[in-house]
Amino acid sequence: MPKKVWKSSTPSTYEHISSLRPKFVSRVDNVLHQRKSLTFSNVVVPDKKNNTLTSSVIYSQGSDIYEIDFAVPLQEAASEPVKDYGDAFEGIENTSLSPKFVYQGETVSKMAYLDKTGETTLLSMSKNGSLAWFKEGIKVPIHIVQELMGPATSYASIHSLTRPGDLPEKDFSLAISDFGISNDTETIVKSQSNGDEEDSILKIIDNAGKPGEILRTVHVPGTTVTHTVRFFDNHIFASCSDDNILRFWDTRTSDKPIWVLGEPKNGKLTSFDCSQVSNNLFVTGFSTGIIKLWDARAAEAATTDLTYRQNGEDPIQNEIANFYHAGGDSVVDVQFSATSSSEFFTVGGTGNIYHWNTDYSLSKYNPDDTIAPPQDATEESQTKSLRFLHKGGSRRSPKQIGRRNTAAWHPVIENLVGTVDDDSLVSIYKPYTEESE
Amino acid sequence: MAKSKSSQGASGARRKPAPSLYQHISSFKPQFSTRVDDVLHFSKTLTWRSEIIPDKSKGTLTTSLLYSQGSDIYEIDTTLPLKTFYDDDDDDDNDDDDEEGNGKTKSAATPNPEYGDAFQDVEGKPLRPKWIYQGETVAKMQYLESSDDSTAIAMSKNGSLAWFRDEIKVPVHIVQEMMGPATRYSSIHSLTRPGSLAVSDFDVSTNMDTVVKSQSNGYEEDSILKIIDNSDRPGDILRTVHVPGTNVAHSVRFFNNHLFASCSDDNILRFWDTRTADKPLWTLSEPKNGRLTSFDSSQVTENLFVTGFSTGVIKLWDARAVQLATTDLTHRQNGEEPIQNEIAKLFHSGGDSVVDILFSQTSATEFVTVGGTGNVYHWDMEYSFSRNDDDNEDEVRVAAPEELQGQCLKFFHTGGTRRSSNQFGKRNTVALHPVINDFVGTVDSDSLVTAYKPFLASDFIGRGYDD
Repeated sequence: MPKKVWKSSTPSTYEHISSLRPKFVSRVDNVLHQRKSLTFSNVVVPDKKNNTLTSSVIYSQGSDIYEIDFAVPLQEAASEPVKDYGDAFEGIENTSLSPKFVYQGETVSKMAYLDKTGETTLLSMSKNGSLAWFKEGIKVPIHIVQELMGPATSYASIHSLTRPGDLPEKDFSLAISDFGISNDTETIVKSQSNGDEEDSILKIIDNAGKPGEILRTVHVPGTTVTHTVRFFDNHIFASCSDDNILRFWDTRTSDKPIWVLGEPKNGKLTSFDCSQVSNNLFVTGFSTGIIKLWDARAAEAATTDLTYRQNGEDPIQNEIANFYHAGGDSVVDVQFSATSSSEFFTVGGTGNIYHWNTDYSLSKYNPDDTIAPPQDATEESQTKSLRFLHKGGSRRSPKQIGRRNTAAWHPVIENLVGTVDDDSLVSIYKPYTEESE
Repeated sequence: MAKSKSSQGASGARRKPAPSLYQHISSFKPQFSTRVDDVLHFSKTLTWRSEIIPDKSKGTLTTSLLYSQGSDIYEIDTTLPLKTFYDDDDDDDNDDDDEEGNGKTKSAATPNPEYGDAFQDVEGKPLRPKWIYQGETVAKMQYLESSDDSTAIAMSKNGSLAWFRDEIKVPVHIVQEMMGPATRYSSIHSLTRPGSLAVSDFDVSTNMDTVVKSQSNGYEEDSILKIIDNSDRPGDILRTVHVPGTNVAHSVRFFNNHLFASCSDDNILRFWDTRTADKPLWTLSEPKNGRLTSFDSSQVTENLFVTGFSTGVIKLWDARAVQLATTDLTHRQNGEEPIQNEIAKLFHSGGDSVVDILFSQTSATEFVTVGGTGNVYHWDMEYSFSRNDDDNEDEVRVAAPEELQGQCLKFFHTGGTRRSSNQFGKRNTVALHPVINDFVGTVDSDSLVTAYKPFLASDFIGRGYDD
């Protein structure tokens, strides 16, 4: 594959961008030492009078979780790209934040917003794989799935057991636990390493009748770390492990994957995400900067198609198309848009955020043509698909490293993305693309 | 076909005659376009479609029922007088307030002594099968209202499942059991249990995503549950669960999207989650009161269920309380069985065995039981609930059995005794309409299809007895 250094013809102008460096009520020793993650609430309040749309960012720092309100302009009348930073955070710029939720003794590594008025508002995962459910108005968790590592366990001490010497910065971005929520929010699957063995496990957890009840534990043999798990619909989910294999499961089947997708080439498989809008699309990202777009139906059909492999070869599973991060910027996170079936972003190891659009590739893709070779990254497909580039921390510190769960799509407001940097700077932005006009 | 008084004779043992007046009743003996040898030999089942079409100009309400006979499934349109049913809806809204509700009903809806003409449109027309499950005998059908892919699921007597879609006469998906298409009910059944108890059953989860089916393995001490997909790949068998030590798991019902219970011939109800491993979450053992024959769970509240016994005993349960009791060790520190108590206990008079139970899909307190005689009993537990709330569990069942029975038995539909004295009640021959409150369809073994709606001025009558 031609590894052409990709020219910076990608637009980088914003329809809106605002930043906030939050101040805290409690003393924070050194903000750089605390792990941060970010998500959005799905509550959106339009205000016609002031012509604004109010929503909030959920921001975690160590064990504390903060809710930061922001207001973006309601009518995007000005289709001109903005030069200046917006004032979405004006309302709270000078207020000191006090934590909305606290997961005492744990370091929050991932959060998912559930429902403001429901039984539970927020689900958060700590670095050691424990889960905590929070409810609006109550500062402490109302349900917990505690892992045995204990509250004092740090990432390093679990991790050194399995990957000694591999610990520093380089690998820091690879969290060892993850969770996914089914589309009907009734089931949670969480992945974690078992620590000291060649064995990672998935736990299927109830989120409907008895939130926090562990329904089943599934072992993923021969893998040390299962770093990503995502639901496709109410039942089907996939786990992605350090053996570069994606395993597809159904919450209702017994302890064997329904089918698998092996990806031995292209370096370490670091991340994947599936579209919540169309149930079949998913994207995988590699440490080498390669990104692949897949059709789950085709990949599954290939596992039973024996036409070209009568001697027990592995199934021929081809992606729809592949792309790459320029300069070999590794892929650390992939997230599909919650509002559009054709948009996803990838987070590079440099902290850059790449916005992709799948329309070009899908227009050339015929799901019935099962033996079509993948659309390899060409300059044309790369240009047509890469719609926007948000430069990460390089603006402020050159050695910022991209991390998982530090960037998020807004679940309701189209094209709005939030990020948090190592130095606690929270930004929200809307790319200025041709479609915005 | 005038309604005779024989109903009183058939229930002679009953101390308090339950009211048997109908707001509407229509009967219909279908004619078939194909020659049917002897209609009595075919097994029949019935279920409702959930669509209702009101026609204001004609003053009618049209719905339809699915009727199976052997391998053929027919759709029969039912046209009802709109007035009767809308007036009744008002009555339901006022149900909480007895006095007022009664006043209204009395004036609006009066019992109709005549047979109605709900089947007028189809009378005299030979029916053509809508769907055919070739080589199988349909034992149960379920209408799938919210599924685009398929319209209904039918189960055959040997436990095979077939998915049907409107406009396509043959199944669109099949889960075929090994017994083969020529298998007769008797040949499987004689090995384990003869009689009217079907050996297989299925149910669909509340969100229609999952089907669970129970069946006997035939010759071993082993019955199995199959968890089957109904969303992405209908008919895909996801998992097979063994229920050890049982020959037959005759009933299986979902409580919500994931929780379901199976009921086996060892008189144990086992509660499962589709997502857990192959062990029940908890169990409910019912060694007394004869053979546990049937159970059903409420679709309105997720927690209520009813069990029925061969002795005619009916028990109403709260699933939460049943589960809590399994972990409550207060009164059983020496390894005794958990103390699981029902909310209420009722009975069919004269020891009429319970062969089927149907919880209302429109009311949280009403259910219908079918007796071995073919009689249909309508129950409303509101009286029991109003006396017991969740917090004073110790005082459950303050009402004397007789009083409870009188207050809760709202209606009584006499089964086939009108026409043949040796008719036996069968499973899946009585169906409650999913939308129209209290509207029941039944089919008798001589193929007579009946649709009725009871006249329920029962609170009034009930009070009369107490005085």
